[in-house]
Amino acid sequence: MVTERPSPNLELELRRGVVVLATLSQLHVPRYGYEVRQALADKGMPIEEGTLYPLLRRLEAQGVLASEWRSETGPARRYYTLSAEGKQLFAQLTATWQGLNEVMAGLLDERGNHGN
Amino acid sequence: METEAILSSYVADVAERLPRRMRRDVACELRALLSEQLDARARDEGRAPDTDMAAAMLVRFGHPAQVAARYHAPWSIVDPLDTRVFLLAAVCGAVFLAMVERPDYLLGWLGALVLFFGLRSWAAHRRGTPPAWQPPRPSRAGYFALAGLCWLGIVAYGAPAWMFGQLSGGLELAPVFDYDPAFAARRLPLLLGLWAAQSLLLAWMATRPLETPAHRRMQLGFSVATLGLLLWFHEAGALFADRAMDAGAHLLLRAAAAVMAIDVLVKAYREQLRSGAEGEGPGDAERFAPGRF
Repeated sequence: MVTERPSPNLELELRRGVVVLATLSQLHVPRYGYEVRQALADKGMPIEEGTLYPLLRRLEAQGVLASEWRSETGPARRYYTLSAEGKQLFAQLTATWQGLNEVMAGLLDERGNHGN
Repeated sequence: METEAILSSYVADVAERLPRRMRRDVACELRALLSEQLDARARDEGRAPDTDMAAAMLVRFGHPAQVAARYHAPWSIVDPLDTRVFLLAAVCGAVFLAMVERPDYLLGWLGALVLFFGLRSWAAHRRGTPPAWQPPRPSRAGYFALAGLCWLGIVAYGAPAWMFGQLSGGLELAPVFDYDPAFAARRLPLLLGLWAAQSLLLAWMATRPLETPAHRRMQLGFSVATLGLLLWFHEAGALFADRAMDAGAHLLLRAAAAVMAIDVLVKAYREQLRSGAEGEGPGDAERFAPGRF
């Protein structure tokens, strides 16, 4: 018996799983929140601002990111960059992602073969 | 400017929900980011930012409470994981107070529950991750202690004069404690027998590695039997020969029956909840599985 409808946000949930890795990938150089969002959007990974900005703070609180206020080139902005721990985490998550990607490619290919 | 006022108001709504240590810093950053975002949006649309544009952007950004929760997980007085237990405890307390005719204690009971669950939720919030689940292993010492308590009750109620003499160094129990002869001869032995059987179950459970549904059902059975006896004692006549003593005993009997009734209700409710989820084996899993192919 079906008691729940598929969530309209399933695709969103799928994307949410890679938000952290995508964000970390853009922080090998110092960037502020809006700049990170723009960089991600330009590369095809738009992330809601209401999700991204708090995420940066949480990652900083966890020691994954380092941050500092800068105001040399305009209004004061908080710039984030990967900490040493963040670089390790990024390498680890990248390896995990690539492994998952291979597994998923195999699974989806298998599904396609069955379908045909 | 009105757009600035809208942004400031929104940032303040978020910041007031945050802990003091991060409030100012988050507010400064959020204010700068929203302002920059609004300017970019105005550039994209080729017009000056206005209040409608700012409001639309903030609606998209999220309700201040949701945004604040993303910055810092809020503490709740009753942890959502505890909601069912909280409601159960509140209802049981209300039923008990109704049974003993003390509804005036209801607010106090609810206050005590809020305090208890609030402290529990606060501790869980500080701890971060919940403790790992563990199989319900019986406390051997606890079960043996309960079995011993059953035998202490059997001696204390079955031979009160002898026990008093042993404890007091030979003094005699006052006649006011004499049982009603009919109660002592016909009704009391049933309670003592029930306690003896229960002590055997508890001792057996202490030797088992895990608590099983069968254990729970036997405990429920003993609780139902105990409640039945207490209600029967209350209705069947005198417990003590002395009238004043008997009136006091009936009062205590009512309170004990109320506690047992709640114990039975809680155990039966839990049993009903769990029985559908606990199959005895693959056959049951197949029988209960919804939407089989």
